[in-house]
Amino acid sequence: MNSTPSPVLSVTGLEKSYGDRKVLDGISLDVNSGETLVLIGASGSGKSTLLRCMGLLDPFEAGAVSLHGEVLAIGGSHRRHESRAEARRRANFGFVFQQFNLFGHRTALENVMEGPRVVRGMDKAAARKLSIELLERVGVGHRLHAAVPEMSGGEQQRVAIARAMAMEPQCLLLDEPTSALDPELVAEVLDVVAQLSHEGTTMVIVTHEMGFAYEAADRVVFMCNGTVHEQGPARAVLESPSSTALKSFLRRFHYSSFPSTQPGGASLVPAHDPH
Amino acid sequence: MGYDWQWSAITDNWHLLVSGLWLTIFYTATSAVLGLLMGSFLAMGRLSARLWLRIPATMVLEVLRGVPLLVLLVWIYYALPLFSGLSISAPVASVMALSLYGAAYYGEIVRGGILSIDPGQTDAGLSLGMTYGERMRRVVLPQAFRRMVPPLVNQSIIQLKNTSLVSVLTVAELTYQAQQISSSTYRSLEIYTTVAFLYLAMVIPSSMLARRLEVKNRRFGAAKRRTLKPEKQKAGVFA
Repeated sequence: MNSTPSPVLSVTGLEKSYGDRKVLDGISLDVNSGETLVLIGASGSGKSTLLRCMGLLDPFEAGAVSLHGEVLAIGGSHRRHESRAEARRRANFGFVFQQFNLFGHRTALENVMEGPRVVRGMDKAAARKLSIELLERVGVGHRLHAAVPEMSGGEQQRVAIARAMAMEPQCLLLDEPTSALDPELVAEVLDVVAQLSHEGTTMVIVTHEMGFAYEAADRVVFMCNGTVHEQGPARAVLESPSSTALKSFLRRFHYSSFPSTQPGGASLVPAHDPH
Repeated sequence: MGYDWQWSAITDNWHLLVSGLWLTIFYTATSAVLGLLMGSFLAMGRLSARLWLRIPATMVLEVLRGVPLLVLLVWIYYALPLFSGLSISAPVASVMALSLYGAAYYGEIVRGGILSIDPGQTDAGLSLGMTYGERMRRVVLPQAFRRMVPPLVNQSIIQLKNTSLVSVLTVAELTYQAQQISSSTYRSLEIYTTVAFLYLAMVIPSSMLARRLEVKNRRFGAAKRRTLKPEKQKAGVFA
């Protein structure tokens, strides 16, 4: 990580409501270069909404999203008909969805090539080379020509991560990447995310995997009722939460989801499976 | 029953039935292509965020679906010239009515197909930075079209059968020819039985084709859950 962290992505005074209910109530947050930021909070606390607003997938009423200090979007400016340049802003972020959302009519390789080909305008050979490299990095190099329904959830999610990385995004946003997976497939996806984190990819992850947050996150942000309730270095926040809301939230997680290693002694060794 | 079948009415006039058959196929194909084209535009209009596109498209679709084809046909042929001042020939009126009527139903199929695509697919396209056009062309429409094939074939079969209605405008398609032969030979049983089989001979292969296409689409269709082979347990730190 940089010695003087500069915010890659910053959110200021973000507000969003669904009808009368304020989902995001003036959120301000900086994501520094190379940082792995984990968003936690009870369901309905607005963390997924915040992530979708950061990725410019959902409109918001007030506030701004900036990239390297340059304002990308301001509240209330959303139009249903946007220009090409407005659509292209999203290419700055890689987004990984809870439900994977791989393009159903394309193979694993075609899914990853789609962004580089269509949006970045790469030629076919270069896009193919890049995509194969990425798929191999996430451990699905043997499934290049698999159709989406033929892949397991874990494989689909890893392809989805490769697809997001193929845009060479400034920041990767992951929205509960393991929540839709069978329990035995969670580890293979988290290992890939941890490996990316270790390599210095800037990312924001919404997750309920507290063990993962403890091990891989640089910073944990706890959201409650549409606001940032508490934040700080991952281990400090998770081991000694200061607010009662976070204390009671963490109590709901079984102790086994925390690693048994002693605080400070745990080291991140991404168990990379090279196939 | 002591009915005395006489097939000479068919064999003597076979050339008329064949020419009628070709016209039936021509009207079906033309109105299917034009109807699908117009229907797609109407469907896009109905799905548009722009009110000035959505409202007229919705109205046109509703009107066309609400009027019986026979009424539409007769209206275009007899009534439209009265207020527009243009005289419309029977074949043109037939193609117009069949296409417009088809457009209403094809349009609903196209709209349903587009709406059936999971919004997550659009999200994925958005997140890559794709424009609306790119998302439609590269993500939504290819998948929607696969799902639309069976209902589109189904609707085209209905179009084929509906072409028999243009006989009222003296367009010499299959049913009209049957009426003509019948009125000169009085052999309606043989003739209409033959004509019914001729329609069936066109319809049954088409529905079989539709079923085949449906089966072929399965590989890239809706994700079905597969039972996973037990994988080797990986030594993941977060297992």
